[in-house]
Amino acid sequence: MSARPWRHFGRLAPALVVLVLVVVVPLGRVVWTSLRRSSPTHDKMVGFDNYTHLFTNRSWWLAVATSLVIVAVVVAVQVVLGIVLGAAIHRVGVVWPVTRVLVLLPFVLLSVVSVVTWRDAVSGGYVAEWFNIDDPGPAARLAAVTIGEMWRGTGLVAAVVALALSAVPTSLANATIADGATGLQRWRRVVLPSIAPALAGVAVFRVLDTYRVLDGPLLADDPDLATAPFLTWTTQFTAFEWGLGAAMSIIVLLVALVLAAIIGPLFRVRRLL
Amino acid sequence: MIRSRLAASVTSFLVGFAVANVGLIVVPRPDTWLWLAAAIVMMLTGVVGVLFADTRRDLSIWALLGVELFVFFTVAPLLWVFSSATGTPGVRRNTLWPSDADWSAFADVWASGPVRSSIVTTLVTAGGATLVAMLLAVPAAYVLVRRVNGRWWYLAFVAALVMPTFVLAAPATAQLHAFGWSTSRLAMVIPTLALALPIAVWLTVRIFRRAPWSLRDAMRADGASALQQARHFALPHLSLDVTLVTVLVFFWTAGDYALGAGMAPTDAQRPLPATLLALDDSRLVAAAGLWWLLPLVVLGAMFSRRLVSLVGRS
Repeated sequence: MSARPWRHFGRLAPALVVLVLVVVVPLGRVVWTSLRRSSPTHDKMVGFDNYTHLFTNRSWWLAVATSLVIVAVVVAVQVVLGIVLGAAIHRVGVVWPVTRVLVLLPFVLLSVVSVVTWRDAVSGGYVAEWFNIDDPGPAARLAAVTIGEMWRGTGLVAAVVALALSAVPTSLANATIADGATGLQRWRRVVLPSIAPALAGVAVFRVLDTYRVLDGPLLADDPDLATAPFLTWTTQFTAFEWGLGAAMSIIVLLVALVLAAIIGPLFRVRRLL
Repeated sequence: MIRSRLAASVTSFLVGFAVANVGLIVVPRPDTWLWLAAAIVMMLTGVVGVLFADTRRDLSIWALLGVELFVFFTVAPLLWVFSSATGTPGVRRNTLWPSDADWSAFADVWASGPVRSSIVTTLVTAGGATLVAMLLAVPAAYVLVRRVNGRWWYLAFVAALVMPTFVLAAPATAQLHAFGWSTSRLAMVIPTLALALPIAVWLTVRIFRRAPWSLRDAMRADGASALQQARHFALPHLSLDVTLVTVLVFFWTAGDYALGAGMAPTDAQRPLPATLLALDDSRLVAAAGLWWLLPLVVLGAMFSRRLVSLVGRS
């Protein structure tokens, strides 16, 4: 650390100023819009009316709940699968040069392409043909794009786990074997704590990344089972209710903040920063 | 040890047997053959496991089974993307195996008017944002890694990286409209920076954290000029990583759906993801996805170790 840290601030400042301009200023505009009744035909100050309307709106909170359930299911499955598969990849070291490209392919595939192909798979595609699904409703399409999201992230978690496992010091592992620890004890007391920081980081990323998924729900277009991003988006860009949509945006952001505030300390993410 | 291997072998064989039965009874041809191939691999794993159960060879049958399941799970949907792209025009393919492949979609996607103009939009918006973001991120990351105790500043970039960025689409649109820039592709670069800058800073910080800075400090102490430092330190130790990060930042930024879809005033100005989602023809969407994947696969094959180490430590 330098004795005069502010001397170096000049090189950090441009990036921070741009961050404020492109993120904080638009967010300020969202707050301002959320206090107005703003649509192509109206534009007037209404105070907290949009929020009071939302607080009593059952379908909005149902959408928030749907989003949270999707996040919980997707991330839980992803983390468990990722640990198991990452451990397997790590154990069969020979395949790592090939698998380290393969694991990340679903994640780097354009997510729009992923959701379109997963939707197709259940509506008339191979999954429909294999398991005789005639007419999948919107709920089945939403399930398909959700599984697609799971597919997209599992490889990423597996890669992170495999890398973290290879960083566990061998001397530590050998010492526990010499001490006569059973496989389960070794896993719980040595391996899991040493991969925990990496795992926590990727889990938090996947929680927030799954929470903000928009293209899948838009494609599934399920009017009964909307997610919070879906409702926020259609309110703004289909119904053109800018004020109400802005209030929804603020709630979406606050929920994301609460999610981060809960799981961050839970996984002790501070160790990573 | 032996017991665990035998248990794994039996499990592997039974799973393979079940897969074979489902494949034969439920799944119509030609996908039956894919199910049978997977079944054979797993049953063979079981047989190999029994044969090697009582040896000192360092081999885990459980892990082998895990890798096989992982490969099936990852590859099947990717194969489906390929099958969708090579389907007959106008008919939705219903087999995973790409029989009667029709390759025209790979050329059609380049010939399609909406896709072409969306590629131009994406190159301008995501490309411009990537360049600006990297120019800002490199000095910022240097300061964050080497100089100030920048944890809270760094946290601001990380927060912007994981926030629900689609909420920025509406205010960005309104802002561009207020300035009268809403028909300009170039103006869309500014809001797109909200996607590019956080990922650029995050990735650059990651590569700078593992750079051998002590070498540069030694060079400076020895009185190396700026040019010498660039030639003997930055070029060999940083330039490749920074280039790779630039490519990744571009693909990350270009892959986002919401911001571009919201901002574009006309269909012709939509970036690639928004255009693809609105496209009726799944063949073209899948083909576009594979073209998109091509440069990434090439990069992945060339620099797999470097790229994977960006997501974790090894």
